[in-house]
Amino acid sequence: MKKLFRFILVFLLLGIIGIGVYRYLWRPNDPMNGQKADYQVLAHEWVEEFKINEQAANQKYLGRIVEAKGVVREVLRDSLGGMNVILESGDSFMGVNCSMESGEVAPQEGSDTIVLRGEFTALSFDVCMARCVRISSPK
Amino acid sequence: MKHPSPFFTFLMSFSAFVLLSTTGVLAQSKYMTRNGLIRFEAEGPIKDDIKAVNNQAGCILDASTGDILFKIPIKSFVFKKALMQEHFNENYMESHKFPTAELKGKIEGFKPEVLQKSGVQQVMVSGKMTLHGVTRDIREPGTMEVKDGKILLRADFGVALADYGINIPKMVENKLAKVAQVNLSIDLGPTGQ
Repeated sequence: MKKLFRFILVFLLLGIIGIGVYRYLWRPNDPMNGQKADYQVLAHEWVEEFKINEQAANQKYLGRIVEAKGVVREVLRDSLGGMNVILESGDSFMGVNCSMESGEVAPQEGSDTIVLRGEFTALSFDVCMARCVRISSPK
Repeated sequence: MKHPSPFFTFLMSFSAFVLLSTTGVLAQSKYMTRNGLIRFEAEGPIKDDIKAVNNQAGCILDASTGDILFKIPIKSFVFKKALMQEHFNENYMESHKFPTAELKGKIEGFKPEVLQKSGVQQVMVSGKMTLHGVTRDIREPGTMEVKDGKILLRADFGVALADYGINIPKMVENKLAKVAQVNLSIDLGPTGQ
């Protein structure tokens, strides 16, 4: 009886460890909705920061969660159904390019001032953020 | 005073419309996109779904010379599994040191007149690609199509990871391909410049 009990206990423990390892290995990216922002910025000031010193701005923001506030300049769609929201920055070329999480509703171009939370990825033609969600009240 | 016939008026208006529509393509000098699509797959013999999508590739084409520039944020490649995304950025691409990839080159033999041709055309892009801090000459085929005032570029090519100093640890040799397959889907619109 004792042997059986021990066997069941070991089996259960291995099962729990196995589930834990599986969930760690297979876990999806943490949803952006539940994350706290490292920085809150205004789109036009943020782009300006990169224009003044790109290297310093990259070091500061790379991999960080940022909430960027600005007017929607443009909403872009790709052939896979992905959506990018470009926030106005005052610069005629460079904006804040936010690749949106699937399921996010497209904002209105030109009129909506919105706050988008995402992970800063790099300065390309724009200041880029990935896995973005629209938030109603900044954290 | 004799008024022009309705048919003549229609003919003149239609001709003006056609002329303006076609010269509109030639008149544009630069075409660009901010949301070019890049799909990346590096699955080894053991299947582990190693693929990612990036929809923030920037590309600009000078339609007067055929010069082309791509700039791609590395951290914008999104994987399904968080651990894969972490390993891709921290261990392989080291995106904290090399946050972007770049390709500066030319569409070989490009002439502005090709933008007037309909249908899919075979093209060859040559230039320098910088990835993981390493710059190499590249020459890859692709296709170009002018459609609805846009230039659609498509290409499929392999990137040998070792060529760009990306080392695969022995432990994951069977999971990761030595040559990653890259698919580009770039729709360029006129910039008005």
